[in-house]
Amino acid sequence: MSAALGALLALGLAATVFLPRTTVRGPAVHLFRAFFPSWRFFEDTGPAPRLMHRLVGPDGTAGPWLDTLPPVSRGPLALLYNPAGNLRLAFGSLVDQLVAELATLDEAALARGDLRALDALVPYRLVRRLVSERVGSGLAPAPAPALAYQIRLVLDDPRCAPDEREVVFESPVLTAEAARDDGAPP
Amino acid sequence: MSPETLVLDVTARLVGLACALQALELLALRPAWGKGGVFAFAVLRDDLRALPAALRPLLGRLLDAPGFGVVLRVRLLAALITLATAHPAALPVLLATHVLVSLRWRGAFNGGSDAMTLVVLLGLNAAALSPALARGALLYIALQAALSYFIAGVVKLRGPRWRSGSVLTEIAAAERYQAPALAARLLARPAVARTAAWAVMLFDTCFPLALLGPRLAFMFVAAALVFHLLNTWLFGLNRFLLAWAAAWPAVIYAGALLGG
Repeated sequence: MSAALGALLALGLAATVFLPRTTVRGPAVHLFRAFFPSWRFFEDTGPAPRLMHRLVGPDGTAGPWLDTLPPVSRGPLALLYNPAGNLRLAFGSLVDQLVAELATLDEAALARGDLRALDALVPYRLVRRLVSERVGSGLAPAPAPALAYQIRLVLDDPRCAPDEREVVFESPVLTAEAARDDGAPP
Repeated sequence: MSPETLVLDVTARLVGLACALQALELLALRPAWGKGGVFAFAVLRDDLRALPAALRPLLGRLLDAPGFGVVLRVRLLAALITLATAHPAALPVLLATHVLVSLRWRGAFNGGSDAMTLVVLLGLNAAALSPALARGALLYIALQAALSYFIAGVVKLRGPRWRSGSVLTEIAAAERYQAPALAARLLARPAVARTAAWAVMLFDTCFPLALLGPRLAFMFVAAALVFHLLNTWLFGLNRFLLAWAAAWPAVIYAGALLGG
């Protein structure tokens, strides 16, 4: 390799290390983010959020918190073809997006019970559909006719006992029917 | 056949295989993106507000349930043609359908693997425009591949929990990745986790050395194959294996070209 090319490569690599990071945000940028890869895989940003839900009976009695996403088994074929596993990873990304967008909401409005901004979040509506599907499909032990539930996001920190994990979000009590929206925010 | 033509041929066949498997996976996931699915377009339509109004009706047709199934079948066909013949005619179709699939999943279905597939498709499409662009296109793919490892390594090196290995313990125990129990148990041992974490960080950050010569390039690509196979076994990241494999011929080409 010529010295000039080597120097150029070293300079480029040094720039990725030492230049300040610029984050470009916006809904259009988000949609086309594959064009702007960050390559920051598994950056140490702390434990990932974990999606949980609990059923709420007609009398308001809440059941235990359950993992929403069931385990997916991986056979040898999964080395090349793993749709269920990749869908599970996509659900994980969806939960990450929800946490990121929740951080943009006005906490005071949420505390006052004004949930319009929350209900308008696309990831929130998708997560509601996901939980609603799980509750309705029988994957979760749903005591009939209970179709009301709550969503919770906890930090998946293995150092903490399950009931001591930090809660980053807890939804109001929701109904499964309301999640089956036709696109309009509820 | 020039070296560039040979490398482009192999790269096209590999990305064809990657895109075919990606399309088959998404076709199998129709219940998730169909009308009543979790990712129903009725909800995702709101994301398109960020795009020009004139584009939205067309995108709506292509990304809603029946249209998206057609997009995936067209993608599968183009991928199989590319895999079988490496003919450049199908490459623009692969690129266009890749962008549509990414849009359908709010920017990416599988994060980095979508980005690397896009890098390879952009390079191949540029090279197909003119033979004069072939060398630059391959260097672009090689550089992005080297950067992908290098940046991932640097951000890990900066994290104290990566340096101690505790992040690896955490990831192996995380519900999201469902690592095999044996791997989770092994990585729960601090010494094993620290050693594995440092091996990953050293491999990642040193990867640009592959561009210094063909022998180094082959060595790093062989190490990368082991690295991605382990990632697939541990964390189910199968899409990363073929997306990055499609970039490796360009890395070897760049190593030979730049390293003399």
